[in-house]
Amino acid sequence: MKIAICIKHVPVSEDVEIDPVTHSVRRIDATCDMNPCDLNAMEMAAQLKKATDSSIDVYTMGPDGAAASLKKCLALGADEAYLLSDRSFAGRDTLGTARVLADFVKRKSYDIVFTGAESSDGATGQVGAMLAELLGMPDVADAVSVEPDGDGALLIGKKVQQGTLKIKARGPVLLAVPFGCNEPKLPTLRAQMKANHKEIHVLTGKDCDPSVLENLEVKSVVTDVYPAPEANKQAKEITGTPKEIAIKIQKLLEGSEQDV
Amino acid sequence: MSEIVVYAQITKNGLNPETAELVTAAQEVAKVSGETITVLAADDQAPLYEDALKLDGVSDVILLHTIGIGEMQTDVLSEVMADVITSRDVSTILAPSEHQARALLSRIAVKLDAGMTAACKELKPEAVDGKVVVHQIKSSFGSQGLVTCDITTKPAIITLIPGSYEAAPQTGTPKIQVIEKENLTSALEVLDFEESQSAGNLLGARRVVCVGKGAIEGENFSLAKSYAQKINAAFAGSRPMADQHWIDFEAQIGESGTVIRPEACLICGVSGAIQFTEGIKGDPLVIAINKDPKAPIFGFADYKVVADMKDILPELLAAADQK
Repeated sequence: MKIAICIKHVPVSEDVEIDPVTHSVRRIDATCDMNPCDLNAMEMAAQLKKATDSSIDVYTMGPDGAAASLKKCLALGADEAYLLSDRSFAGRDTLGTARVLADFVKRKSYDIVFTGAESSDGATGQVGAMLAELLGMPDVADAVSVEPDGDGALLIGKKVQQGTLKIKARGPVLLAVPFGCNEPKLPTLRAQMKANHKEIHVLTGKDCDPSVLENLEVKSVVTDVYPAPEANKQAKEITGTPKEIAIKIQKLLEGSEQDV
Repeated sequence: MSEIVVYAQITKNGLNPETAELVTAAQEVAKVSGETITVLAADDQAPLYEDALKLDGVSDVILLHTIGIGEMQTDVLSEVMADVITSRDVSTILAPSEHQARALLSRIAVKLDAGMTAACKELKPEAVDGKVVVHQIKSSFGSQGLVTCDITTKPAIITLIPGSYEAAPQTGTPKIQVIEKENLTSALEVLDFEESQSAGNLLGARRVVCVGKGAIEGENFSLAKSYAQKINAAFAGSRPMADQHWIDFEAQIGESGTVIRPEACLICGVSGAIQFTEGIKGDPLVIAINKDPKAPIFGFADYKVVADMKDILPELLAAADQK
C-alpha cells in the first residue's frame, strides 16, 4: 500500500503575551515541534506499514524549520519527506492549506492518507476533511485504528462519544487521528541520526499548479486579537477542618444542601 | 432575501441538542440582517425529527431523507447538502463544532469555495454600508486570547462551540419539507458499534468525580476512585491522566476527550485549562479541590477548596460511610 501522512510543525507552547492596547501578540517561547496528534497518526501509519509492506511519504507545509518534524517522521519509519515551502503558501487559511497539500498529494495515488485530528495551535480540525474532499476520498474523523481486512478493503475504528464504530473503506480513504489513541514511539538516537542525513524534497510555488496558486486568497480573516477577559465567576470557598470540609462537599454532591 | 442555514446534526443518539442553540445564534444575526432561518438536516432518520426542529424563529425545515446514509458518510452528505445550499440564497451556515459536523462542513466549504471559521463562541453581526458582516469571536492561544474573524465569502461557514447561546424553544411553526434521497452510495460502510464501558457510564452520569495530575501523588488516585464508587458517581480524569494511562482514553474529560453533562462534579487536582473545562457542559454544580489558590479551575467552579486533596479525600470517604 502507498501511505501518505500530512503533518504540522507547531509552537510547543501556546503561552503568549497580548498587548491590551496594540493587540500585538508576542510568543513567550518560539520553540516548535511536531503537532502532538500527528505523532499518533505517524504511529498508526508506521504500524500499518509494518503489517502490510507499505511505503510512507510525509508532507508538511511550512517554513524551512518544519524540516525538523519531517526528519522525526523519517526516523519513525517514513520513507520520503516533502517540504512544501514558498512565500506564497505562507499565512493561508485552512482551505488554502488544503489546496496546496492536495495539489502535491494527488500526484501519487495513495491508498490511505493520514492527518492529525487537529493542530495544537490553530485547532480548527478542518484541513484533513478539506484535503479528503479535494482528493476525492471519504474521510473518517477521529480514526483510532486501521487494519486491512484481507479482501482489499480497510477496517477502521472510529472513536465516537459512546464507544467505537467499525467502518469499512473499499477504496482510498483519509483518516484524521485524535490525540492519545495510541502510544507514539519516539525515534531512537540512531534512527534519528540516520534520518537527519536523508534528503528532504523541497517543493515550492514553481512546482504547484498555477490554478491552485491563483485560488489561495484567505477567506476567513483574523481582524483582531485581544486578551481574554479574566474568568468572572467567583467560587465560594469552603473552609474548616478537613472533616468539616468533607461533610460540606458530601452534602453538596448529594444535593441535600444548596449552600454552605 | 437571503437566509441563514442551521445544520441540524443527527447522531446515533438523536438530534444534537446544540441545534436549538444554533437557532438562537441565527436569530441574533437575523435581528440585524432581517434574514429568514432555515434548518437543514440530512440523515437516514431525518423525517423523525420534524417536531423537534419546530424551533422558535425558524421559517423552513428541510429534511433530507438520505436512505441508508448516516452522519459518518460525509462523502455523500456533503454532496446532497451542498446541492440544497447552492439552490438557495444562503448568506451564513451555522453548525456545531463537534468533530463529525466539522468534517462534514469542511467538505461543503470546498464544494462551495466558502470561508470557514471553527469553534466560535459568539457572533457579532454588524451592518456596514448596507451589508451585514457577521464577526466571529473565538478563543485562541489556549484560553489566553480571543480573536475576531471575518469571512469574505457568501456563504460563510461558522461552527460554534456548545453552550455559546441559550437553546431556542420548540415553539416555531416552520414550513416542513421532506426530500427523499434514494440510491445513494458512500465509499464508507458502517459495520458495527462497540460500546465503551467507561464512556457509557460517564455520559449518563449525574455525578462525576474527576481527577488531574494532583492525584498521582500517594494514595490520592485510589482514594478518589473509591469515593466515586461509594457515592455512585462516574470516575474520570484530565488529559495528563489519560496520557499517563491512569484512566482510559474514553474516561478523559475535555475538548479532545469526552464531553459530559452531569448535575454535579467534584474536580480534584485539575489546574483547569480551557481544553479541560470545555468538556463539562450543562452548567452543573462544580466543586474544585486544588492546593494552588491561583488555579484557573477556581474561575470555573461554584465552590472551591484550597487544600491538598490527600487531607480531604480520607474524610470524604468517612463522610460517605456515615450516610
